[in-house]
Amino acid sequence: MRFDDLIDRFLLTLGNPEASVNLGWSLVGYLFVLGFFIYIAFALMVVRQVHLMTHTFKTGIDGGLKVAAYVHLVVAILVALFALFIV
Amino acid sequence: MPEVYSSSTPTSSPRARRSAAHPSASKKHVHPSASEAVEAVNHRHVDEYSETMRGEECATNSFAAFLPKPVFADFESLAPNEHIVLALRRHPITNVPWIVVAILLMLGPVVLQFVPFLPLFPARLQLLAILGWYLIVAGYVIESFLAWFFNINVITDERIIDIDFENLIYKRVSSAKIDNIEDVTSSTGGFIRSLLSFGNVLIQTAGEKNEFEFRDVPQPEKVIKVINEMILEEEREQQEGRVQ
Repeated sequence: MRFDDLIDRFLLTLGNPEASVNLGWSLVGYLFVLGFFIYIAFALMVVRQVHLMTHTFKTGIDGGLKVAAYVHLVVAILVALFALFIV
Repeated sequence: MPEVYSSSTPTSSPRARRSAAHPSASKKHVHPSASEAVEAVNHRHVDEYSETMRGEECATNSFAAFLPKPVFADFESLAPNEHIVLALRRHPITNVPWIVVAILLMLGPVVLQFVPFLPLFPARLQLLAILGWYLIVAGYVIESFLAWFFNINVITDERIIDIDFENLIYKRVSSAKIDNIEDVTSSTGGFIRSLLSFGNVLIQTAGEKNEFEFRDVPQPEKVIKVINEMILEEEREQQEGRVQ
């Protein structure tokens, strides 16, 4: 498909109110997905920091903290995949 | 003349170190090696010279804010003959503001159900918004908890160590030798602080970082007393030629 055809189809979508609304919601959905993937980066940082800090100062519950950080990361990944699936 | 034992027990293992630091906490008898026997002569246990610490039980609760002679704790840069005397966190009451905020944030989606324009959003986006909201709340709770849990001030029998874990991307560990301490001040102001006995301890040193602040720590008077006892012991070690 040529680039001109893509532009034409996009303009046609804009001319159709229902299709425009759907396109808008899809864009919002993809923004959510992007946000969830950014959150995965945050969850990875939490795992890294917990490793660093438990290495710096051993507190007696290091294992529990690491498990909690990994559970948080897994939940973040599952939510991001779920979002990608339903958008 | 000290009795010298022969043993194959490694002297620098955390177990051996803990046993030396807290003899009452370990039931097993560890035969000291020659270096340990010499250390025992040169280096007195904190209970021997600190009246304050003698009355304190070894801390076993990892979540406590006042941790005297913690059995479980170990520090990355702890020297083989160095023992943790006291570890401090901010008083648990300082966690109340973020816990209240987290509870209010958790109620957010329930409140939003009464907002009239919400049903205009497609169901799948509503679900994603709620999931995203709870993830953000979880992130806030985790970061706030870690900031409290790993913001630790440690007093060993050789140094004071300040671990600042402000947020996930900022960590600072600074330390100063006990004999570099010049001035120790505590401040307890306000109704809650006076009632629950917590406050700030300001330690001025002659080192590169010349000011250490232990913020909102429990029993600041006791902390000052312990530090003063450590300073006296350091001076005594120098006078008696027991300096390591």
